[in-house]
Amino acid sequence: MATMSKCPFCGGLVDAAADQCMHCGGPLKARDAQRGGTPSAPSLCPTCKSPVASGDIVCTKCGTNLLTGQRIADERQKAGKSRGKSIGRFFTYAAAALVLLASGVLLVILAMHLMRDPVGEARRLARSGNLAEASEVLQAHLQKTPDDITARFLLGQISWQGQQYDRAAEAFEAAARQGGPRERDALILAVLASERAAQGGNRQQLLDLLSAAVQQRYSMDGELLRLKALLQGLGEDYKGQQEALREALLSGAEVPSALPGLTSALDQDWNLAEKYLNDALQENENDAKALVVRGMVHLMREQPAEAAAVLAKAGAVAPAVDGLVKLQMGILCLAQSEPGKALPLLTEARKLLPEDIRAAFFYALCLQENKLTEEAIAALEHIASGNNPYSGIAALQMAVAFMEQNNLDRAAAAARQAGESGLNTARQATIQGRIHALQNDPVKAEQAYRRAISMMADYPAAHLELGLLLVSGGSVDAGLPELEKYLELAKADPERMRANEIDVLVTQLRQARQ
Amino acid sequence: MKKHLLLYSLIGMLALGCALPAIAWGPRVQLAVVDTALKLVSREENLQLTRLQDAARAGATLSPLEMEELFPEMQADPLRAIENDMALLSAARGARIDAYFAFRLGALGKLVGRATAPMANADPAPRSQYINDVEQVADMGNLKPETRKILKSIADLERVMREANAGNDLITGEYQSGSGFRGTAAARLGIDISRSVNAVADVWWTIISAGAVPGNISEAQLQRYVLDAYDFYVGRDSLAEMDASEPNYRKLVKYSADMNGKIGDMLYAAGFRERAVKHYEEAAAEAPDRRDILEKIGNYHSEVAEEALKKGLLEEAMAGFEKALAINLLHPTAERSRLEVAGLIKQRDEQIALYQSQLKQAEDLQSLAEEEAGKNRFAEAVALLKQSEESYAMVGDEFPSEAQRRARGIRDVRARIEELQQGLLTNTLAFSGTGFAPDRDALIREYSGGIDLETLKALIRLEYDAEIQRLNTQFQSAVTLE
Repeated sequence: MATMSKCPFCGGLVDAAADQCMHCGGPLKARDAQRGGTPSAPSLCPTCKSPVASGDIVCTKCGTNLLTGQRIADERQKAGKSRGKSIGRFFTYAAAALVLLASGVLLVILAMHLMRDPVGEARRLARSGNLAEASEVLQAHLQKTPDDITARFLLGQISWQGQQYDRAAEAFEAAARQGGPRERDALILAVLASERAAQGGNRQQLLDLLSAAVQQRYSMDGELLRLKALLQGLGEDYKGQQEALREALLSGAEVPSALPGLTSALDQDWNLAEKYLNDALQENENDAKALVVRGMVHLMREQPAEAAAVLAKAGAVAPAVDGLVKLQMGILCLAQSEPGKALPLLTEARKLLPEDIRAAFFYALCLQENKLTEEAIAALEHIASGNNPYSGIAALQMAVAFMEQNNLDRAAAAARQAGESGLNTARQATIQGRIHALQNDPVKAEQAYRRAISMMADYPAAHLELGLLLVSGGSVDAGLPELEKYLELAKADPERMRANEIDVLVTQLRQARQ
Repeated sequence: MKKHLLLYSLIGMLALGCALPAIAWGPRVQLAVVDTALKLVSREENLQLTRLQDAARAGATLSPLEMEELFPEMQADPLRAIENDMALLSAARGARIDAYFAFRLGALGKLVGRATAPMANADPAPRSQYINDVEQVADMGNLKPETRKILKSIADLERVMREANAGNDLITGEYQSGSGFRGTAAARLGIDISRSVNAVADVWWTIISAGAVPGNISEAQLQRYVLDAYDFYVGRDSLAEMDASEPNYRKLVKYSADMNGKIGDMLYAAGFRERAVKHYEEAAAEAPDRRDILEKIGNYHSEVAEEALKKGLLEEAMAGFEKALAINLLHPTAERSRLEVAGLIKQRDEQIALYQSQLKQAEDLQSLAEEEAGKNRFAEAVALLKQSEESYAMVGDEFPSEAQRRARGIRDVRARIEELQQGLLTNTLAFSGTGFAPDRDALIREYSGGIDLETLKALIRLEYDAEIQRLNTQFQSAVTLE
């Protein structure tokens, strides 16, 4: 690598071997040689030997142009000596000198302008903390020279330092697109800046860029492959993710233990997922992430019992994941009619996922299943009053809870609220019918039951309730077919639907009719 | 009064007699003589012999054949027969006069009565006529009791016999002359019968009051006496009397194995098996090598076991067969029967266990039904009771206790079903809400879908964040201005 040094004139970084500053065009070697020391050592005027400061152009003692070696003072002295000879000549020479001086100054200014370095200036400005000005300098510069990769990269750096991550991402992305030796860094920094950007950046665009770079130049770069796989995973391109991860593994990159299994699971390649997860768990049987993935794979394969067993072993991963795991486990317990076991799980899920409406809903449902009716109503009311997909069902569950408390007015109001929230199901209609029946309004109850049946002909509860309503009202002939229909539907779950008892009832009713 | 009654009964009995043996005194007179002698001795000597009257009368009514068997010398030398029997009875008397002893006294009395009757040495024809006449007219009212005397020797009895036959020629003459019984015979009848009665009473008294046991009685005779006594009691089905007498017999003779075996055989044949086995066991204890005795004991236990088996008493049968085998390992049927019983016991126990479990199940179902009924879930209660009834019905009749429980259970269940069925029809709405049971599952399915996938996505996000975090650290220097 070349040794760098600072230009004594502009302060920019230059190659120590260069003769001239690449930024300001100032001489480097010649003056060094003349002075026989470092550029920063104090120097003397070649004419009068008076000390001059570094960066001075004209010796203030003798008027020697330190760049050209001409002595303006000499000319003045000569002119002074000849004053006596001719004032006219003096003025002539003076005017000429003034013209020459002005021309020289103009020339110097022009040279300085021509030899100016905006990148260096921007860097200097940035270093001095003036990031906005530095950025402006660079942007102005880039408008004129858009292909200046260094300027782009520096702009990215300056924007990053100024916490303008979206602009940083843009600059790094542009730098990456231009290729060059800093392409890889620019790519990664573009992704990093993009993740820091307030809008989240354009992940897909970066993924495309990254994919192209990987394909063309970095096909064995494990780090880039891993990043690409993860970006594809986020973009739900699970096949691509799996492929990239495979290549990353082939390149020898280190990959988190649960990631291959997780990737295969998302790609629904259960066998491969199982293999990877086995490997991970063989290495560490308490690998929480691998256990969570395995549990979820069981669930996706409709193996709830196995899922519950595996998830119970999983330790903490991260609050977001842990919350989902507890929620899922709680739901599994509820489904297995173990509300007592579900309650602590769902309590924790709700704590870990405070904004998750599902956690709140299932927690409330669990309270209801545990016969903690007051608490359940309070929790359901909170959901039902909000504008969310669970408000309708929460209101309906409230209706059931109020009905259990024999608070029929509030039950009716909650059932109506469920309907107003857009819940228009056979169950809602049947619950409304039950409330009417309990309010001794058999006509409305029958209407509600029939509405439920019209919505869902095979909804067992509506047939049972209608049948019972008719039988208790003395219309045994009309009620019996409804009960028989219920018995037919109850074959799916005879025990919980008390099919035996209803069968006895139907038999009794038939006998009584005979 | 009593005397008259006795006389009338004697006359009656004599009137009934038709075929008389060719010896003195007919059977009814002999019986009357013995009876009267018994009363005399009881009364005069203050002995409670009348309580043994039945036994004595039994002895006095022995058939000629039985008499011959008891007194083999009776025909040839009745005096010797009497003397020997007196000696035997004196030796066997003991401290207590038992029924058999009374029986033997009765038999001896009969023999003495015969020996002391008139006409013993007369021609058979008038003798028979005389005996017939006496049987018809004998009157005990003219009895002339004498003071009891102990016979010093048999000669005393011989003298009595001579006295009795002293008028034989006269009576024979009167019968031959056609006067018949009305003359001398009738006139002497009271004296003649009194003589016999007194002779019998004296003989008995001599036996009862004899101080020294005669030495001419052998052990075999005494054993024979004891065996006869057992035979007597067994024949009378009188084990109580036998038991009461047995201590006396045991003092009298030593019960040998053979003797115990014979007693056992007698008892066994008469159906007194338990008592017989005691004697067999005593015999076996004395002679353990007597295989015949052991076989008998074994057979007894085997028989008892078979009977128990027929009654279904399996444990008793088992114990019986085991006893039989313990006594006689080579018993021909006991081992096979024991195995059969063991199988039956196992089978029965299994069956009982099954029945008991069915009964328990039925009772549990009843309890459950009551719980359901308590919650007004009548239909469920009825369904449970019907299941209970089915369980009860599976119990068979083999075991009384279980059968009883079954019958009671079925009765209760049926009554309860009827009650509950009425309740069912009046509580139809109790089923309301039942149909919502599957809704919870549907609700959970509907509202919980996708958490699994979401979790996996969250994990991916987590891995990505970790990667970004790592890269941030790694590239920190790259974003620092130089």
